[in-house]
Amino acid sequence: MDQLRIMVCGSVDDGKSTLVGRFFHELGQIKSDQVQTIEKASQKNATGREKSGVVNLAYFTDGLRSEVENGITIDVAYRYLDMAGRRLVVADAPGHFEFTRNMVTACSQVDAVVLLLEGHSGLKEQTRRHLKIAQWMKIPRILAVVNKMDLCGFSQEIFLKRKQEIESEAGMAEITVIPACALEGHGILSFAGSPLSWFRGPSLLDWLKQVPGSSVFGHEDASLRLSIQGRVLGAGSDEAGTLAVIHSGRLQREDCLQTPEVSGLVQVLEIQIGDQVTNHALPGDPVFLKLDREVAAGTLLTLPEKGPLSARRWKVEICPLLENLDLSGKEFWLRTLLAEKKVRVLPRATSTPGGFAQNEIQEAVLEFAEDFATDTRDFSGQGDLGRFVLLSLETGGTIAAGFFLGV
Amino acid sequence: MVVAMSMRDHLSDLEKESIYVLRETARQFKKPVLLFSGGKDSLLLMHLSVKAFRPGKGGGRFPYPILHIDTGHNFPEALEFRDRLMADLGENLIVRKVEDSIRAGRAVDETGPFPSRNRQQSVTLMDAMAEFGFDAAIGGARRDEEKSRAKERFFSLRNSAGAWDPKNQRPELWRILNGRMRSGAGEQMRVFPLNNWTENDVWHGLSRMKVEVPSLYFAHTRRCVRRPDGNWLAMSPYVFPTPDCVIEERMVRFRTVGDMTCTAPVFSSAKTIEECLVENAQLPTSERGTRVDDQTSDAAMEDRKKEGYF
Repeated sequence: MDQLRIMVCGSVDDGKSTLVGRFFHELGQIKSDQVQTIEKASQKNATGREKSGVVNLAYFTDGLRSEVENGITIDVAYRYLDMAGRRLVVADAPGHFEFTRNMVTACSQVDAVVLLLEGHSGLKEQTRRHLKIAQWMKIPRILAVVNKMDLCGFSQEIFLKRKQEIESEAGMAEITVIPACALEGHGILSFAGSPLSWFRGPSLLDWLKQVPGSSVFGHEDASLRLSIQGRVLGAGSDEAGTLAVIHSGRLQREDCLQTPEVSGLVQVLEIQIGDQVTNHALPGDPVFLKLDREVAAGTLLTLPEKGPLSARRWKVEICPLLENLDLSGKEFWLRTLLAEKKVRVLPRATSTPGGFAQNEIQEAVLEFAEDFATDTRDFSGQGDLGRFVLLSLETGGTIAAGFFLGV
Repeated sequence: MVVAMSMRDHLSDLEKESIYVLRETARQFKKPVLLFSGGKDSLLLMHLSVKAFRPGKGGGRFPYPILHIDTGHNFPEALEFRDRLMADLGENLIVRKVEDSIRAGRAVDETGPFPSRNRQQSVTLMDAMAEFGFDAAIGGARRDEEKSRAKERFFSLRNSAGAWDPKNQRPELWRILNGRMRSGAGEQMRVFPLNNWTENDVWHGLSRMKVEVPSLYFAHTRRCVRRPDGNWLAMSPYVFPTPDCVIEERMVRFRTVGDMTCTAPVFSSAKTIEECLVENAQLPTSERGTRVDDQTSDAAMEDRKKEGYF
């Protein structure tokens, strides 16, 4: 079974949770005890269009007390479904500006995005923001669903107008656009016999079957990126080994690897996965290695001549995730898959207090105490090492997401 | 149709993801601990820990001890299984008892015909974390199980009282796991390496590893009691049925294994993992639908998680 991880996003009240609930319901994936919970929540909190005893399927994913009470999504909920030959992971993201950090969290875990907008009201600020963030995070496939088509008379003309608007907003990127009415279930599994039967394109389900899945880990055919995770604890010294993970590329026994920090090469004497000795290992493989010397945890190993860039100052793009952040000139922990280092955000002249606006993608320059080696976001291995987060020195909390652009 | 570049086996990806999280936990925390209940999820965590830290031939050791919070209401089969597994693995097991928290006046037993110590476990867990100075507790919770667990991060921060703040979770980006905590504030981390596993995945994973699982998960005859609210429970010395309860011998298995006082059996004839999976697909209820502890209110799990629960 392959895997497809998607996020459902878009502005507040455009019907994200209802769409997710409807999709699972139509496929018969909501169990009786879960239906009871949804019915109870619906009775207690009838609002808006869901009034008059109708079951509000949004409560399938909106499960927190405050979400049920306020009829909103606060944090991303993950739901799982097996289609023919495919595991589908659905992340239902919140639409509010203040919870954009949770949408960014969801976006970082998926292969494809389903972006909702309303037929009658069209693109809103948060729709545009979610699209921009998904493109920034290099999500290769985007499906725009023009929802609530019942509120605009299932009009083909209005759909085409919305289609044009979202396509021009997306720019050059490929985007598929379909109409739907999640509340009544039109366009979810099919359009046949629905007021939208004029539409000649994929339903949500059709699209989800066609979109290529991908792996949590990097590409096998990219340059090798391997990081040391620690050492095997144990008595006998001949059992001692090194714990490592491969982020991209292919590791072979007898490979001679270089590290940005140390001169000279490190040779791989033995590779083991679980209790099996093997000649090679692939991305994501948790390996036990025997190396010809000790290498510290957090070290990056690559093939010679194929290593990353190294510099003290890095040009980056960041998206601050909390409000009222004072970034300019301040110090933070920068964390990548590999390591954590202290950095300073160089000040820049802008009108925003603190120099950086919340939930906006902005360029910045970061300064490390010494040379820092990593990949840029355009690295072909999926750019795993080209990504970072900034952490508050005081609380340790994650406050911004970012990509390395270059030196 | 475009064929995916490589048809990946999602179970292998789940294993890799979980092992990655376990190794990051060992790397980032000073004193992590693995919570073990005797159920299938923590059993899977034990075997994934072997794959993460023990390269075979007797080499390697877990970089964390195992902690069992013993309510005193366990299925005897679960305790037997625990002791046999620990003897096989030779890892360090710590047991802390809810009974002792009650004796020390730190927790109070529920009264009534069907008292549960489910909630009281949080007190014993928090006390054990403090006693040993554990800064991270690895648990077998899965997003697929329950609506508040559906919102969990891999590294999930708890304050000094062990409380989860679901309205204010940290962003968690890509596979970059942030184990930093405010120094001196008594915060701790809960770690959920199995977040993305479904109930089926857990069974397929255990089956693929060819490991023994507790007999409770397969059909057996057992004296059961039907409570006036319609829920069935196993008969045990810890329940005190009222005259309006029905007591019968039934052929049952358990889909989740918690306390005898809050885990409802499923009527079943499934004797193997494969038969259980076929039967589960036809059952009208979800996995946690068999947990009486989830039914005490609309947000029972969320509320317990705010009290320091797993």
